[in-house]
Amino acid sequence: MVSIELLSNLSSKIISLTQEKNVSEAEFYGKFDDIIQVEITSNGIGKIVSRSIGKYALRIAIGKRIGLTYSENIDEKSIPSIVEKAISITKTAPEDEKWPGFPRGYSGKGGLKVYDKDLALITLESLIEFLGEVIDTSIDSARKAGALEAVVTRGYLWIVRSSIYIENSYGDSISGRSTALSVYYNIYVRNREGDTAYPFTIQIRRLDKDKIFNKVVETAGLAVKFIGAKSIDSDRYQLLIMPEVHGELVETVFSPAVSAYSIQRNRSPLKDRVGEQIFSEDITIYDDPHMDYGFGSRPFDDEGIMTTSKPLVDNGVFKNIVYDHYTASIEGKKSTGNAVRRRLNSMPTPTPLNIVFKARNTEDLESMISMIRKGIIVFGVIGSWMSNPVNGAIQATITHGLYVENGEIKYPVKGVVMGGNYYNYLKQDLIALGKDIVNYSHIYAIPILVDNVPIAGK
Amino acid sequence: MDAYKGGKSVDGIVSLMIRLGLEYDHRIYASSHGDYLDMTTRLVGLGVYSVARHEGVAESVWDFDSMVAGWEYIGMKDWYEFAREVSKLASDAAKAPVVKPGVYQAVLDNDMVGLMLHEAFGHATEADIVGSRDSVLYGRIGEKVASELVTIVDDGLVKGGYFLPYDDEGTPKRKVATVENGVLRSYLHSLSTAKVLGGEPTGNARAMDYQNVPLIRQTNTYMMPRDYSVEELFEDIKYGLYICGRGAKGGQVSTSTGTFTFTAGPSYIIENGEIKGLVRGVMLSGNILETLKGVDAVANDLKVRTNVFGGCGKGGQVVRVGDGGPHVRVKSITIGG
Repeated sequence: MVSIELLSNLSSKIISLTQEKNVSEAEFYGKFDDIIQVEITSNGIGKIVSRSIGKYALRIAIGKRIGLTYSENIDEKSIPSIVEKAISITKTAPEDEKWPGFPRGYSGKGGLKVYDKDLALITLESLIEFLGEVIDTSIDSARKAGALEAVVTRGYLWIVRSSIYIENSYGDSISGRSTALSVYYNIYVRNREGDTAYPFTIQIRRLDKDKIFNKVVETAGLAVKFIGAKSIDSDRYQLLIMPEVHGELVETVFSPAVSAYSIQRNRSPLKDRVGEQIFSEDITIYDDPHMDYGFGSRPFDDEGIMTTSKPLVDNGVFKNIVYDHYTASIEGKKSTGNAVRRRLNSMPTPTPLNIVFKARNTEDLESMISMIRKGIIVFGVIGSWMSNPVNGAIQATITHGLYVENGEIKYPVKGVVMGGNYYNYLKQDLIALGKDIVNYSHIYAIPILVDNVPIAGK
Repeated sequence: MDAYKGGKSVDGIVSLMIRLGLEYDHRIYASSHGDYLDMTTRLVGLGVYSVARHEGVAESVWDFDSMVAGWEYIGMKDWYEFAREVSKLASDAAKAPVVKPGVYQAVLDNDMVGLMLHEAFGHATEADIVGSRDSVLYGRIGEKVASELVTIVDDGLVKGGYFLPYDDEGTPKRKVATVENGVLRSYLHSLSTAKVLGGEPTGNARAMDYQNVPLIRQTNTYMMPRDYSVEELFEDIKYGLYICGRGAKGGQVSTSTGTFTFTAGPSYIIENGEIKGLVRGVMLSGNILETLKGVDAVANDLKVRTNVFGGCGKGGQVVRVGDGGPHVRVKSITIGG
């Protein structure tokens, strides 16, 4: 809480000075991050870095001119120069006739859990012991699954404890804190047929050891299945896209498409389509920032406005666009509490917070596999972020897949490019929806079985 | 404003964004070994993101021009024309067919070669990745890993690239040939990895800022030119693809297996040695060592560029880099669309 007091004191002085300088409006956004970063190497634990970073952004308006400055200097002596810099930038900015003023009436969703005391207070000794167990479990599990050699090769663990303080010149202020844990590494496995490597990744808000170790064991067991992977002929295939890969596609293609920022700038295929059937009627998708310990959960957005839970897609029908204060005011609406600053030195833009699939008529995984005549179960891809949110075109290279014929897994597949369009995947080409929800960062996705996907292989 | 007008001058543009980037990087390095360095680098540039729509098909192209230089660079270039060309490419691409998936003989342009070398090969030469056995190049010094036409260097001082005379451990940045005539000669080292793995420090320990520890990072990665003219590369191709980097979204690699994937910009079909129609949605995929072994001609037109709007990410840190090369022909490459 010391960090929030520190940010609050800094903010009060900055806001006061902007008022003395006759600035029309001012908004302070401060963040204090306590970070522990542990490197994972093939020899075990590598470099450990612990750092505390205080930083803030100051947005001001002079009439209809808007400017933003950013600083990592939280020394009060730097305040006059930061404020002068903000004023100088703002005076040179062109007028924005659509500027609605900074949002007022800050509030947050009460009781939402996004801060885990166990994670926040973990000692370095306990953390290293825990990470050692993760590495050992991963290697043991791979060996039990048939690997003659297993090595956790390279990765990182991050713990971030964040404090946020927002204040504006209208007398509003709000603060909050959160925790996050991210772990990723590669596990290399070898047996008589060859070798391969498979990534482990998890992003959560609390130290849920059961969830972590279950995934460690599952990942190590899967890694062995991909040894000896090969390409397949170019053709159209059925794809069973596993939840994490599906989450990657949603993050790249669907998430930006429901943002008012993209829609108002003609960068979304969903422009003018609210009320239209865009997906199968079995699909409902929520933006739900109110799940306890959800990776994207938060009580208020980056403009201090309370977040809201709402359907983006309801029984296949496109229902809601997500707005921040600026984009909402352009359409005469209220913010949906989706303002996100990707970095402190960038303006807030509307972004979904937790995208959660709530499908009906779902199937379990075994049943979905039994439906495949000729297809691939897709466990891992690279390059999915190069898919196109402007038109929904999917492009990714499958690095970890299993080829299936008539419901039977035959052999591992790698190095083939999957194409098609996400909006077709979830409508005319959709065969079945899976039950199991798994999170990829702030996307809580399900497996999907899709027909007729173009694959470029041999 | 000139750039904005140029970008808007093309029919069919539905969204346009112009970005101006100015960076001032001042580093002071001092160590108990008596080293003291004071380095300043200025980087400027302008970027254009243009979205075109034609009969319901939307296509976007992002391109930039950056230089280690002062403000005078912005005054030296015709930004109206630069932005107009980007918008024209987006507009043409929206009207173009999607490339047919399959295996193609291909010519890669300068930007595409640079992107591929940095992502698909350069990361695998970083000694911390090699030391962790997470690189397809682990234990292969002295082995043939590419066609004998291929020489790849990492160089802190090259025209068009990022300026890096010293790394963040105070080591002079040497021009290092990681691959020489197809043979793997060196990894990229910090002081500690050079000691552990055996090798000379190469000046590749770089930190994003003072809050982060130096990691092994590339500087400017490029392929050395040979003696073919660019036109000669196309002459023998009956049916292939001219893969262009303008509008490319980037790439990703699995360093442990060498599997790579890239999205190229709008590209061109080659028929009987001639550049023909434009195609969109070009995604390349393959194994980097197989692809480099398939290089059968390297042109003489070296070009390297850097980027004020982006850089290379690793371990949560982003640093500025440069990349490039001459035009290069490869025997076969898998294309998805």
